[in-house]
Amino acid sequence: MLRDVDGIPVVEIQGEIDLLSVQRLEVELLSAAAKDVGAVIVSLADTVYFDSAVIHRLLTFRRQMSVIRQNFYLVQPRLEAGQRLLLITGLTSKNDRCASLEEALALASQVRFDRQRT
Amino acid sequence: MNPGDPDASLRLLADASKALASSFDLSTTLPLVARSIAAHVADGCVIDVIDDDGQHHVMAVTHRDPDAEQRLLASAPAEAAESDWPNDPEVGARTDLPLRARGQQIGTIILLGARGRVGTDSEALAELAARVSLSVDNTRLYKRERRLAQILQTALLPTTLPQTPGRAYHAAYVPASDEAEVGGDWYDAFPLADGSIALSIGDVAGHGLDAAVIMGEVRQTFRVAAMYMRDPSAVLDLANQLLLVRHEPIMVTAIFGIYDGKTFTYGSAGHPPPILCTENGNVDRLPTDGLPLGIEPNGTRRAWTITIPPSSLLVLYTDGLIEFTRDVTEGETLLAQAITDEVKSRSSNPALSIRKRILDGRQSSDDVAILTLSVGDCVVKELDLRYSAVPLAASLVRQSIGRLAQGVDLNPDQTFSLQVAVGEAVSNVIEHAYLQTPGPFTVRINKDKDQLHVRIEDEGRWRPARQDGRGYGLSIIRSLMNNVEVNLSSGGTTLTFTHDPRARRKKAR
Repeated sequence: MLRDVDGIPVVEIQGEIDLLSVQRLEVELLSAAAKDVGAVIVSLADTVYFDSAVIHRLLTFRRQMSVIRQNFYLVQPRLEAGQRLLLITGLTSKNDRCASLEEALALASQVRFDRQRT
Repeated sequence: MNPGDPDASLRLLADASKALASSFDLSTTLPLVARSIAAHVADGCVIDVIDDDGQHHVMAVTHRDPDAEQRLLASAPAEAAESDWPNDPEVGARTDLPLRARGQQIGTIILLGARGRVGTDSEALAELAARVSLSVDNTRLYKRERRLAQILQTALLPTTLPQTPGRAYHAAYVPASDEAEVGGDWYDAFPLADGSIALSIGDVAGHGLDAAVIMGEVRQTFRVAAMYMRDPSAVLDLANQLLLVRHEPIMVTAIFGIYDGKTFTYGSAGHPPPILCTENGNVDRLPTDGLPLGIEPNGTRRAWTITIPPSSLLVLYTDGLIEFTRDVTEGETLLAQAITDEVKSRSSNPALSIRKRILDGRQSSDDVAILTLSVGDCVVKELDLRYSAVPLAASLVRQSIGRLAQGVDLNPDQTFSLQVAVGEAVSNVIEHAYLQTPGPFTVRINKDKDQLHVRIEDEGRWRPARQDGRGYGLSIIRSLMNNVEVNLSSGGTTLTFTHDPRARRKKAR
């Protein structure tokens, strides 16, 4: 689930995730944040099912990332209904919503670069 | 070796005793005894045993001189004692030690080239003959009881299993290896008056005739109780009470359940959990609890309910299947893989196929029983699901909606919306409807013209929306579905809504 892409931690949620499997997501998110590169990407691109337990966990994670001054980028699900669900629950904003992993990586890499410069 | 060497006699008795204690298998122990004799008190040895039918069997032939041993083996008749074999002076003069038990001769130890060497050790040889006689007799008694137990156990297992359209029941039973005692494993499947099928599987602790007899009693108790009781936990409780009044305490693990053609409602008594494999290859261990039968008079036992989806396989089994490697975790992994492979390849007899995939010709030291229920494929145009409110149910409901979506032609977006809305409702039931014991809930989805009507009912009470940032469930359902209504009553909660794929598409544009 957690992998490193060009030095950026990417948590990819593939297939289905619900209240039964959300604990594993929790572990992956904390591991990703602990890498402390300034940004974490969570990708729902290949997620075919997620529920409010997952949304709640991602909302909490976004707040936690803000507190520790790291950026959070969310790659949208491919399904239109999934994108609508994110809008309904307010999980995405213009700043952290990305249409693709490439877009998210570009933003996260810039954050990491700026952080290294300062 | 010196003639009459008392040390040799003692060593012979010690070696022979050790050999006799090493196994119940005479073809293993008697050659070891013969070699001890040839090593300590003779040049060679032949051991002949008479079976229950009076037939003679040469169980061991050995000689210090390899050439002499070859000659002995080459000249051995089919039935040793019906001739004076061996009578070749070059292999040594023979001295016969009869083996006796219960007043009958049960064999002979023939010492070759022993005369003049053992002389005064006739007491040691008599002792040796007594020990071998006892061992041969005990082994024969053991084998006789084992054969009886096997016959009884096999006779008590059903010879045919029910046949119902679109559902297939299969079973496999593997007795323990020859070295082990017969256990008390069983499986059973039989029709009830209303057309439902009762399924049971179990394992009596202990071995031999007693275990086989108790197995028959418990299985019969289940059969009789199922005629009057619909609650599987009550059936198990009744069997528990009967076992507790036995003079000798005995422990039995079991699963008893009733399958009504869609839903399997079952109770468990300390037995390994049933495994459900759905068409997408997901392997789930179904929930179980409860102590084994015969231990505790007032134990609480629950019944669990689970709808078995089309194209899936339910597997009940006894612990011999997962414990034959002595590593239960490894055994469970092997079982899960075997079941997944079976669902992918679909053999004509899943129970036999699973047995073959796991044991692969190896013998288990314990009995193994496997009972499977295969549910055939079908087009799903409506759902009527019933589950215990356990987390596993959420995923099974979702899979069923995926099936329904194919049957009523929903696109992936529409399927996702329906799965999320129903999933939120089901999560609420699982998390909030029941405080301790997970009660039942149902999911019904019918199609009327272009709309899907969804009804989710439980017998508990949803807790109020949470203040910790969760509690989105209902608002998500309302935003994705139409006509959402929640009806709270003392008897439970009913949530209804409609899913209109066309309306949703318009809204999405």
